[in-house]
Amino acid sequence: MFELKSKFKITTMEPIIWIIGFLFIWELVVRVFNFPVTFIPAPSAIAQAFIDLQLVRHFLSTTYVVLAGYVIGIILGIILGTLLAHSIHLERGTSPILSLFQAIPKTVLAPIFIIWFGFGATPRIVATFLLVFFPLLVNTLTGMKITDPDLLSLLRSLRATKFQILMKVRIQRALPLIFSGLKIAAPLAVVGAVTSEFFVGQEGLGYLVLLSGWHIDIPLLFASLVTMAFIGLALYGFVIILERRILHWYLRRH
Amino acid sequence: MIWEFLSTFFIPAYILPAPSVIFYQFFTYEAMWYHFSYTLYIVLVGFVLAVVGGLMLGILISHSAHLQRGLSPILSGFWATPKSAFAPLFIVWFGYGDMASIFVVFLMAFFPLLENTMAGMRATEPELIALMRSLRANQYQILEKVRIPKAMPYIFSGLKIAAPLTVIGAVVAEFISGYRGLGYIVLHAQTFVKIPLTFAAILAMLIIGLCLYGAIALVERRLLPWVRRSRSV
Repeated sequence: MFELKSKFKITTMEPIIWIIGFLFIWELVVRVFNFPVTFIPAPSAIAQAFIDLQLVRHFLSTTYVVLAGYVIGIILGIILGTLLAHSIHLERGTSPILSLFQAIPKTVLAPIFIIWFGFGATPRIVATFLLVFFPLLVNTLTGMKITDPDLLSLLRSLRATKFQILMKVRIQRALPLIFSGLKIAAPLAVVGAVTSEFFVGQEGLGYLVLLSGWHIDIPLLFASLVTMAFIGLALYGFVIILERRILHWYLRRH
Repeated sequence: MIWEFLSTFFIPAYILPAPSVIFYQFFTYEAMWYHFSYTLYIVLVGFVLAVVGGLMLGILISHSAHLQRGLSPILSGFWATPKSAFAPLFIVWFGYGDMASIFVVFLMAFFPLLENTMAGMRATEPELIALMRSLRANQYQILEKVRIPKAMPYIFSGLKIAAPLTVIGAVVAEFISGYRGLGYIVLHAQTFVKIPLTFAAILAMLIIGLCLYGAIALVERRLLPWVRRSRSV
């Protein structure tokens, strides 16, 4: 037991050591070869760029868009996935349309959303929503369909209503897949928000990246990239914590 | 059909043009072929670079457990960063030209390929490697005869994931550098509120993405006939 624990500690420490080493070598190389800041800034220069009120404002704006798009995408994706799983006709009818939509590069639609929804937060939220929506729809649909048909007929013979079957069995069965959809969608939400911010208005980290590129303020550019990664990882981490809470029965078995 | 009907009679073209209008725009817009071929060129160059880089690095990394563990946090950091956000940085580095776009495409395609190659290299059963060693196969032979064939299905699924991403990468980069390619058409169309043209450009992107995907699927079927056979059983 003791041995297992110490081994565990080493393997969890190792990535941290690697990251520190990586940053250290990066700093060293930049200093020794005296790279211009416009090319690659040292980690210390990037860290200094974080102390910037601009960054905080754009960070909050992007976080708002990411969260709003993510939540709306989850809710609609799960609802529509559940509906489609219950009607074969509906599924057959919508599947060509859905697969067409899925094939369209959705990040490219942002300029159209400006025309549809104006310049506020709405087009950005819609762009985020679209990227989140499809993985959740597909995973919910698949998750609902993997329920064992024998179990369904057993429940029906026990006079369970459709709603009871949905709440007690199908949703439970679909949850692992819904959670994997949530994990896929977490970084996509950031992608959707940031890409739309390239076009829409003057808010958000996507705009800040553009702006710092124009100003050749490369430390700020790197700082905003790191901030984006932070939002994505935080969302992902939150989903994982939630999954451990809710799906502990499933994770223990698999 | 419903779309065509609705768009022709009820929805104005600046909101959602009918499919017929989109196709008409696609074939009649005189600069379409020029921008189409440019984006195709960017996509192909970036994709090929990513395939070469992703496979080589994936195979290299999978030979060292330390390297794998060390790189994984850095890779997941990259994974969480929107790759298209690197476009402004690449423009500062390489200027407004092909290089910036090619690098965005490369980044987009590189990570799924790297990840799938690494997963594929792990897919070989340790017993099989032990057997090969007992037959005096050297590292290179094991790699060539066992590990790479075993990794092939994973690599191909990585290629399929990467194919549509490359188009997005190219177009987003062209949005930002904005002087050539399908991304330029979308930008140009937005400025003049030519929505049918925007959709025609999206159609062109779809065509590139689907062709790339189809080509990969075709090669996969040729190279890996056993995968399909085992799946259908």
